Amino acid sequence: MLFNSFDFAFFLPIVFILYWFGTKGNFKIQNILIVVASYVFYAWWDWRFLSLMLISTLVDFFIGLSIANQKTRKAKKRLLLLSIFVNIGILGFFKYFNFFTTNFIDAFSFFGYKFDTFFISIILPVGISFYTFQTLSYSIDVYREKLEPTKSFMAFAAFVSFFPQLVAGPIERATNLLPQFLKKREFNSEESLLGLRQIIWGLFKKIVIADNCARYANEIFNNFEHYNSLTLSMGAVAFAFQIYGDFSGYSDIAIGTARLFGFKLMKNFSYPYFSRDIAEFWRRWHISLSTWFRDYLYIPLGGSKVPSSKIVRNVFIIFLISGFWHGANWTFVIWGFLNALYFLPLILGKRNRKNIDIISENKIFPKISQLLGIIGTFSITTFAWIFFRANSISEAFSYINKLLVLDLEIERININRFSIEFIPLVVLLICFEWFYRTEEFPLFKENRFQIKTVFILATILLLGSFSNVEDFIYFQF
Amino acid sequence: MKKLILNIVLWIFSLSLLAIIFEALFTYSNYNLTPRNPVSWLMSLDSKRTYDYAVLGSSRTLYHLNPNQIEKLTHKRGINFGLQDAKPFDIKLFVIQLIKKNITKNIYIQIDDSWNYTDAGEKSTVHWLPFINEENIWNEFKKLKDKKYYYYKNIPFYKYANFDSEIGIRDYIKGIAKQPLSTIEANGYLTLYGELPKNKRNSKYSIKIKDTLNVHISEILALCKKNDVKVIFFTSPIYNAIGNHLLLNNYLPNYYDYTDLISEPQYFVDPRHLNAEGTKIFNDSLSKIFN
Repeated sequence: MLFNSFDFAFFLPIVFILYWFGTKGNFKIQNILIVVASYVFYAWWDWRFLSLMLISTLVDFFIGLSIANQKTRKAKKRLLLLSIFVNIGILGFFKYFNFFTTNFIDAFSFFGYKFDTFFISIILPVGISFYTFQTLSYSIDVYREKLEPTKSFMAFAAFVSFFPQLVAGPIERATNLLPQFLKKREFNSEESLLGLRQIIWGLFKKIVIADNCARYANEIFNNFEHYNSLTLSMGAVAFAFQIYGDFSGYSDIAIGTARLFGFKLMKNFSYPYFSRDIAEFWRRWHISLSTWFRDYLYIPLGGSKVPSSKIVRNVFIIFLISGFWHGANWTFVIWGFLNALYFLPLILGKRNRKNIDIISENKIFPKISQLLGIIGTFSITTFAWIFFRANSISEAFSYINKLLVLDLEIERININRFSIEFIPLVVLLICFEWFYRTEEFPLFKENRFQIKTVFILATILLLGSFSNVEDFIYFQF
Repeated sequence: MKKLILNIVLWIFSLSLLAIIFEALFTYSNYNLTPRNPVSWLMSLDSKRTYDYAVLGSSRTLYHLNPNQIEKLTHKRGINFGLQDAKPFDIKLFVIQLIKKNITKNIYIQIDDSWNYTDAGEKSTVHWLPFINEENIWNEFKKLKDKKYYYYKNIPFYKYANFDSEIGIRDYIKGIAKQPLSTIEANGYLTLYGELPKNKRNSKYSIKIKDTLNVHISEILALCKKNDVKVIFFTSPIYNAIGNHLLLNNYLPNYYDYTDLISEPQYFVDPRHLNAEGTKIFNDSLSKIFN
């Protein structure tokens, strides 16, 4: 079920009413309702893959309990490895089987060996990368004794399947979300209003920004050979805002929806395109994944408290795996590699925490140096997005080759639009975000008459791309 | 909970009010501002401005019939209302409006395998939606017995939001900015450039005509007869065409077939569309039926 669908517009109020009025405030019944609603939500896409989620839930629930019962560290570790094996095994099979098969055959063909091509038609279950990482965080935290294993299966099942963030995150930590399922939730009007406003803001980013930018990005990337360098730059910028509007919009809707049910999810985006360097960008973009890798991979590898050569190794491991997490394609690996290259000079020069404050706080405009930092960071990020968006590495290089042949004529593109026509929408988003960058999201604070919210609703109505409704990009990951 | 409900009511009320205001503004612009498509162009014309003829059809009319060239050859002033992807249903709506506004007494209709369609067009019919509240237009939509047209008629702004690419904000702004339909100066004709790609030159292109009378064409014939309007049908050239298009002779009283008029690939941009040179050749021949 898509957040931007009529199905969800009916589903959400029904679950909301049942949750607050049909459970007599009993949080255990509410947990059952959340599990049922979440399984219905997921089954709307494909009921067959509910079994995978159930397997993941059962395995980690019982492994969690068993880890706590083991007396030796070795036995606990064996159980943790079993959890990792099952979760990564499921993820690996459904997401990477054909990728590894193809590359294995290609590699051996290079040395003269012949293998019959062997493919299995595998559908990638929506959200598998997200809930797998979420359940893994539980087993790891129990193993590290950061968290007591829960004895409530229903609370754990609700934690794994919680529908607002099930298919595209934020990837919640068990330490944050699970305890919320184990205590009574009180209805709070202010918090629910905030949730609704965050949903509206998320819909604005998805329907007005992402889906409109998608028209340009799709046309330009799919037919890049016909366009000049200005149009190709516009295509890359359109994709940069498409993916931002799409993914951060989803996260806002997820966090807002969770608020309606009395839950507080972690922040996933924090105005990333105002970052002054790439380290700041990665503290503001897909925060739940970046911190997941930081806590469960980077720090265990030694983080930055090791010799320089190992820092380089650790940074590459994190970014390459992060790239590969996004999809079984070398384009994502190159995207990760580029980001590692951008990041290394900062961490080796110990300048990675130079920009941790809010940019130009209490000022209307940034300083020139800050503005240049923002433009520079946005440019290199957008350059890396070309690999993320391209269907293959050769396509990405061809795109870049054409991009470098300077031609600044504004072209009409094959959607009966000029290539720069999405810019006013992007400017609207930037203005709104810049003006309210100190707040969690731009509609966080409101006056009595909800003027900002009404303005955003009007904008959705007037500028929304209703004839070009795109799936959320991160569903495919 | 009371505060939450009050706010939701406020948002729904604001949204509904905005939808009504936007609906009124957008509909007004389609009637009164600079025309942005052949439908709003026709709707903006009044009966004081008459033409010797009007040509109707799809892109095979838009790109294939140059009224200025025909005028030079025949001294007859005409207007081309070719609309991309138009189907007989759309053509019928054009005929109804032409008759209502008394704009011409001679209607030429380009017909080909669009004959087979009895539904509304996908993109073309969208341009009629701003005028759906006009009684004679709504009567035709009602006949389609499709619920969505009731929603487009009755839910404020739904049609403009749903078809934002075709009749949405962009066209509204261009209307306000007085950027007219680019084809108006050429009386509705749009030139195509280019040549048929070499890899498409050896293929045959089939046209299959259903051997039943199209309900909308039938209504057009009846309507024109009733109002004493002459209606002539023709099929414009198709590259390497094969098929049963001559069947149209059995159904249409004044039918002229030009399917095989041009066989050289250099006069086409694709198998169904002529370029500027091809159009000149075609219009030379076609002008004879205007005399």
